[in-house]
Amino acid sequence: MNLEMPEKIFGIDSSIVKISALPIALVLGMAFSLIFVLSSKIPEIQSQMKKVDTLVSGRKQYESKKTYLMNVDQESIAKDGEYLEMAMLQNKDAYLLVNVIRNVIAKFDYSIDSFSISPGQVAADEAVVATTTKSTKKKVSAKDNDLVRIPVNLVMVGPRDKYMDVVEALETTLPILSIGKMDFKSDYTVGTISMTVTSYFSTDKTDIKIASLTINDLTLSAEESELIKNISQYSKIDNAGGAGLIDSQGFNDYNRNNPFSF
Amino acid sequence: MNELNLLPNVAKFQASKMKMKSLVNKVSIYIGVAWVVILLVVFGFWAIEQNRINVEQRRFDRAKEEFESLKEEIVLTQQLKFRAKLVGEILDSRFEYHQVFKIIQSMFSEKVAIEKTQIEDGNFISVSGSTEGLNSFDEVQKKIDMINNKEVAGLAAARLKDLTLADNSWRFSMEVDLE
Repeated sequence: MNLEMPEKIFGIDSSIVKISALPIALVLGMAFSLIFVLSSKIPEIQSQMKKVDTLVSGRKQYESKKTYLMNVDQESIAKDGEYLEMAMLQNKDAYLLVNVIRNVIAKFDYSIDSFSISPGQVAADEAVVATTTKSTKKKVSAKDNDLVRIPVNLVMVGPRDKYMDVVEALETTLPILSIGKMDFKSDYTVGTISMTVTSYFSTDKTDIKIASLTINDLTLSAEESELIKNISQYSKIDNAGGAGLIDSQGFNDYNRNNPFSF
Repeated sequence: MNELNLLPNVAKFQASKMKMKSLVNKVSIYIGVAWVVILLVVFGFWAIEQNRINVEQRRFDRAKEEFESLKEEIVLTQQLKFRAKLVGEILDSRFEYHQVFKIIQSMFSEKVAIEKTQIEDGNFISVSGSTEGLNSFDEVQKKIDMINNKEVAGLAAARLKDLTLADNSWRFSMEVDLE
C-alpha cells in the first residue's frame, strides 16, 4: 500500500521531513536511553564498586584476625589468663580473704589479732579504694565493670621491724589487695598494724560481640602486657579452694532441747 | 568549449537532496551504532560489577564463618582483656603504701626509730618516732628541710608537730605531705 505523502507537513516540505526522520528518531532514542537508563545505571555502577571495596576490606580484616588467632601462642595466653584469674578472689567470701591475708603475713611472723567483716557491705556501694592521696587517682566504683569489693578490717601483731615487709607483701600478692586506712603502732619489739584490706571479685564478661571485634580488640596492648608482666612477679596465694576460716559445708543442728520446758 | 549542463534545475535539486539524505543517514547510523556501543559498555560494566559483588560476597561470608569458628580463642582473649582492664583500674587507683613507707624509712638512719605511722585522710602521713642523744634530732630536722626544698622524691612538704626531750632522747611527731 503506497502512502501518498502530502507536499508539505506543518508547513515544511515533506522531503525534508523524510530526510530528518532518522536523525530525529535517533536523538529521541538517545535522550530516552540517557534519561531512563544511563542516569540510573552509572550511579548504580559507582555504588557497586564501593560495595566491592567494602566487601574486600571486610574479608581482609576477617582473614587477618583469623591469622592472628591461629598464630598466637596459646600457652602464653593461658599463662596470662592464669595470672589475671589469680588477681581476683575466686569467691565472694570475706573469710577467704582473711585466710589469704593470714597466709601472707605468717611468713613475717605476723598473726591476725582480730578482724571484722560486714557481709552486707559486700554490695555495689561506692568504693573509696584510695583515700590517702591528693592525686587524681580514679576511684574504683564497685558498680564499674561488675567489680565487687570485699573489704575486711584487721588488726595484726608481729615483729615491729617487719611491718614494712608485711605491707609490701600484701601489696605484691595475688589476689590483689588494696590497703586503706592503715595505722601502725609499736612499742619496743612488737608492732601492731590495723588496716582495712580490700580484695575484688568479678564475673566473666558475657556480652561479647564477635562480629564487631577489630584486630586491636583481640591483641593485648602494650600496657596490658606490661601489667601482666608486673603481676606475674607477685606472690601467689591459692584462693581457689573457697574455704574460709569457717567451713561452710553445712549447718550443724545440735538440737538442744529447752531445759526449762516441763 | 564549456560543458553544457543539460539537467534541468529541478533534477539538480533532487540530486542534491538525495546526496544530503544519504549523508544524513550515514551520520545517523554511525552515531546510532556508537551510542549502542556506549550502552553495551555501560551494561557490560554493570554486569561485571554485579558479578564481582557476588564473588566477593561469597568470599566475605566464608572468611567471616572461618573467623567465627574460632569462638573459643576469641572468648579467651576477650576475657583476658576484660580482666586486664579491671586489674589495671584497681592498680591505678590503689595507693601503694609500701612505696611511701620505703621513702619514709629510707629518709632516716638507724639512729631514728619510727614508732608510729598513720595515713591521714589521704593527704598526709603522720610519723612519730624517737632519737637517742641530744644531737640526734638534727638528722630529722635536716630531712624536714630537704622535703620542704623538694629534694625528696614523692614528698611535697613536711612539718614538725610535736617535739619533747626526755631522758636524753627526743620524741617527735611530724606530718609529711605526699605529692
